[in-house]
This record gives sequence, C-alpha cells and structure tokens, in this order.
Amino acid sequence: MIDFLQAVGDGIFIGLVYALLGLCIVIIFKASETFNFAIGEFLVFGAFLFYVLFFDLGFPIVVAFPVGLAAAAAVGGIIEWFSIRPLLGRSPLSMTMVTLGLAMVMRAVIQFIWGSHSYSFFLELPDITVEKGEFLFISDPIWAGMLSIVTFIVILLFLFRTRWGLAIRAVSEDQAKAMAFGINARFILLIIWAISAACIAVAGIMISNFGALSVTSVSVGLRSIPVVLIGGMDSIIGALVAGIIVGVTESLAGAYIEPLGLVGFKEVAPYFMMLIVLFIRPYGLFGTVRIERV
Amino acid sequence: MRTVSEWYNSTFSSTAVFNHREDERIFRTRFKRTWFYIFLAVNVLVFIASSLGFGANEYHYFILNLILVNLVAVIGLNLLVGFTGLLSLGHAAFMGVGAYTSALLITEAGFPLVISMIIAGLVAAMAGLIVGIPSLRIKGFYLMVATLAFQMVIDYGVIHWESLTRGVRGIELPTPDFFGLALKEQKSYFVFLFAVTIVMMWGAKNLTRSKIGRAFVAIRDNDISAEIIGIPIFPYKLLAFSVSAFYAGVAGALFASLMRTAIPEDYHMMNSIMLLAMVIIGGMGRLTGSIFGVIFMTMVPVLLDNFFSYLSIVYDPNITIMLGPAKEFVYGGLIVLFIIFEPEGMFAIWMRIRDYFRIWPLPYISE
Repeated sequence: MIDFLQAVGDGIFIGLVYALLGLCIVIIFKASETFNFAIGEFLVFGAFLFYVLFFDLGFPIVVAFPVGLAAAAAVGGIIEWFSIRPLLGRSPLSMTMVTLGLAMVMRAVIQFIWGSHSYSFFLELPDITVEKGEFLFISDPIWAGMLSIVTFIVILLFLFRTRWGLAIRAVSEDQAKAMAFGINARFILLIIWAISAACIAVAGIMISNFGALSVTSVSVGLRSIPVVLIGGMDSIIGALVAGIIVGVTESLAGAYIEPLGLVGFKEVAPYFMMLIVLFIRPYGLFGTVRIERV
Repeated sequence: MRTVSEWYNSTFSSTAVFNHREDERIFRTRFKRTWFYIFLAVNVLVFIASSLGFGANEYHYFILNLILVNLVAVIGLNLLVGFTGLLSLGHAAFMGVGAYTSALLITEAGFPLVISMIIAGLVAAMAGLIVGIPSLRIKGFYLMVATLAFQMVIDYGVIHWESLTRGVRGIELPTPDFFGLALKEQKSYFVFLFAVTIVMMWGAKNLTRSKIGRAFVAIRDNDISAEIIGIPIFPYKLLAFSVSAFYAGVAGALFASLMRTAIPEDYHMMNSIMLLAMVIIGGMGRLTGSIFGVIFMTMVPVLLDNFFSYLSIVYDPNITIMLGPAKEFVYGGLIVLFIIFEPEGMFAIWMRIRDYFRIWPLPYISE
C-alpha cells in the first residue's frame, strides 16, 4: 500500500509537468486546430535559452528566468510568423504536417548550435524533500510540479481575467466572427504561439532540472500526445486531469509492471492508456463530442 | 502506307479522349506508352552496360534499389493518405512488421524470398486491419495519432521482445534468392526489385482506376456524401488500411533483404515521417508524383553524404559530425517549404513543365 501511494504521489508531481505540456498543445489546438508536433523541440530550445542566460552568462535566476521565457516566446512568435502564418486559411492538417517538418529543422538547429552531448543542469533550488515515515518525495519533482501548477494557473488567469485572454478565447471560438468584431486574429495567433513556447520552456527547464539537458530530451515532448488525447484536444481541464493520469500511469507501470520483466514499459504505458480511451471515448474524457457517424 | 505526319499525329499528338474507358487507360496516349517503352529500354541498356563493366557500378545500383524499395512503401502510403485521405504516422511500423516476418521466415523456416515477401505483406495487412479499426470512430488528426500509438507499440515490441526479434542486435539475413537463384550482387537484386515494383505499381494503378479506387477518392473528398451515394465507408477504410499495409510489409521484406539485416532503428517513427514526407513532396493522390518524391527524397541524403565527404577532405575532417543534423535540416526544411509553396507537390511542377513543352516551339498556336 505504501509503495502504491508513493508511486501515485511521484506520478502526480510528474503529471503536473505533463499537464503543462498538454495545456500548451491545447491552447494552440483551440485557436487553429493544429497539433504542434514540434513541442519536444520547443521544450529543449527553451531550456537551452535559459541555460545560456543562467549558466553561461551567469545572470541571477530572477533575471535569467523571465528573460529566458521572453526569448523562448520570441522564438515561438518568429516561427509562427514564418511557417504557420502563410498557411492560414488552408487545411489544419497541412499546418500539423508543417510542424512535423519544423520539428526536424529545430532539432537540427539545436544540434548545430549546442551539439548532441548533454549539459549538466542544476538549479540549486532550496531543498524541500518530504520524508515522513515510509514516504520519500524528492525535492526536484516537487519543485517541478509546483512551478508547473503555478504556470498553469497564471495562464488560466491570463485567459479568463484579461482583455487579451478574452480576445484569444474569441479567436478560439470562431476566427471569422472574432475578426468581424475587430480582433486581429493573425496577431492573436502569434501571441498564442509565443505564450505556448514560453510555457513549454518552463516545462523544459523543470524537466532538465531532474538530470541533464541534451537534444535527446525532445522525446519528452511526445509524452504530451497521450495527455491531450486522453483529456480531449480542446479541453483545458482535460489537460490537467489527463496529465495527472499519464503521470500516475507511468509511475505505476514503472513500479508494478516493469519488475515483471518488461523493461521500459513505462514509456509505452501512456500510449496503451490512450488507445483504450480512443476506443471508448474518441474525443477524450473532456473533449467536445462532435457528432459524426463515419 | 502512312505518311510521316500521319504517323506522328497518331503517335504523339492525339490527346483527345472520347469516352470514360479511354480516359481510364493506364497509358492514355501512345506518347506515354512510347515513353514507358523507352524508359524500359534505357534500363535494359544501362544494365547491359554495367554488366560489361562501364556505367553504373554496385553503389549506384544500391541507391537504385533503395529508391525502388522506398517506392513500394510510398505507393502504399499514397493509396492511404493521398487517395483515401486517412493519415498514417505508423507506416514504418508496418514495414517493420513485414521485415521481421520475412526475416524470421527466411532464417528460421528457410522460405524463399518471394514467398516470405508475400506472407510478410499479408501479416502486415492483418496489422493494418487492426490499426484501421479506430477509423470507424475517429478521423483526420485523431486517426493520425492512433497510428502513431501503433508505431510506438511496435517500436517497443521490436526492441524488447528479444526472444523473437533479438532486440537491438537485429536479425541477419542470408543473400536474397529467387527460387534457388542467388541474387548476390546489387545489380541482380535490382532486376528482381524492378519486376516487383512494376507489378506493385501496376496493381496500385489498376486499383485506383477501378470501383475501389473511385470509392477511396469519394471517401477522401467527402465521407458523408460518399456514404449517401451508397459506399460502405468502414469496409473501404479498412481495405485502404490493409492494402496500404500490404505494400509496406512487402517493402519491409525487400528492405531487410537489401540491407541483409532487420534492425529496429530502420523502422523508427522518424522513418514514418520520412515516408509521409515523400508522399507530400511527390504529390498526394498522384502515383507519378510518388515516383518523383521518392527519387528526390532518397537522393537528397545520398548527395548530402557525398557533399560532406567532399567537404571533410578539402576543409575539415570533423565536419562529418554535422552530417546527421544537416540531413534532418534539409529534410525538415523541404517538408516545410513544399507545404507552404507547393502543396500539390512535385507532380504540380512536372505538370507545369509538361504543359509548357506541350506547345513549346510554337506557343502562339493554340491546341
């Protein structure tokens, strides 16, 4: 029982990071029906921007963190400008396929600039390890979970409590109508990509803090696919719930199924979960059900 | 006795089509048929020349073989993506299923390549049926991700089911044979592959110009109206999946025999994206386009290889570590540029060139 609760607890902290990744996908999908397959590359790129500011240039963390996020947002905006904007008005699937191409280009650029070896990444955050009786929760995942949930809430507040957020929600609802009301939908789309890139960078920094930062971390981005499909592509609350589900699934698979001899099953367990959900509820647990019989 | 101009007109310039039957012919004009024969003749001449020791060498034939194997897989993927409009990011996994099936049949049971190739295709088609089942309820992007999940599961299975697939070490294959005739050189394997590819291409072409192909296109264009006009959608979607997977399975078997080994990394998700890129860049829903796409996208890494080995000699030997990223950069860049600037793919470029030269010397004379 203690093992079980320990595994669930570990899973929840990681799951909050996945929830943040899911949120980044969901806000882009709501606005333009595009799945961002380059999420892993955005993650590593953002983390590297922070790495350069904090470790190479030696800025204090209170400067490096916001500046790094701003840089990541700028990169996201520039990429949207060059690759997504020309495709406005075309099929959303072609945008999705462009992000597949973008993923390859960005991965190559990361390797050109920083090489493919790993960089040690340690933020020296205060130790908040929880050790009570049989339980042990390590400091880094707790920090990651807390920071992710804070970012998540900040994004939600931005979306639901500000004028910009209102404009973003209007564009997500109906692009043409929003434009008729005088909202610059193109600019809003750019803002959405920038925000998404910035909060992917937060997730990237937290994930890199577990160990090292290298280009191989891009595979973490693929973890967001089961998250958004289990939760529903257009549901923010779904991203949060499904992130935790994926985190817990992964951690339970690691604790109970891997010792049976299935090495590395942790990596695919979320995909099995996703397939089950796809069969039972094709549009996810919280997604909008589109009634179509095909 | 016909005059020269009559012969010219009947051979090259009669493009008028009077009924549906003529419209559906494989070679709609004699011009096309003539070019096809010229193409075959050139292939035979190149083969004879290389047998006599000049012209194409083994390395060239290896690249040609690579193109042919990719072509078989891409034709299959095009039937699914381009004709039926169902996106798949799991095609490399179907290739992997085919490759491992054929590798096991050849090494463990001693089957000849041709039979194991067909069985590999059928096993992959069964896998395609299973993967196609979600297409009953989901479509578009969701289906793409469901196939991606299949890809992940196969990636995992191939690496970790060691008792069957021997994990990352892979399975070594003997020299491919054609019913006892060893195809030891790349050149002789090329002849076999060429025949297989022609058969597969012919099959795909016939499929697309029959009732089934028209049903595929109807489902792609609008699935609801396709159902209204009486096309049972789900069986046709499953058929598209299994035919496409059959092609991929055969391609996988051929690829494993070409490489003499079946290893997991050849059937990774990255390869799925590359196959999809070949279809997109060639032109979706165009079999001719697939040929261009495959040739182009197979030649790009080969040329980059040569370019980098040249650079490493004249400039700096360390530059070869940049080769991997450079390939990814060019590949990804090409996908992005083609989707933005030429969504119809290379086929559209080819059509423009052809239309230009159709009236080329005398553009002021209308047709």
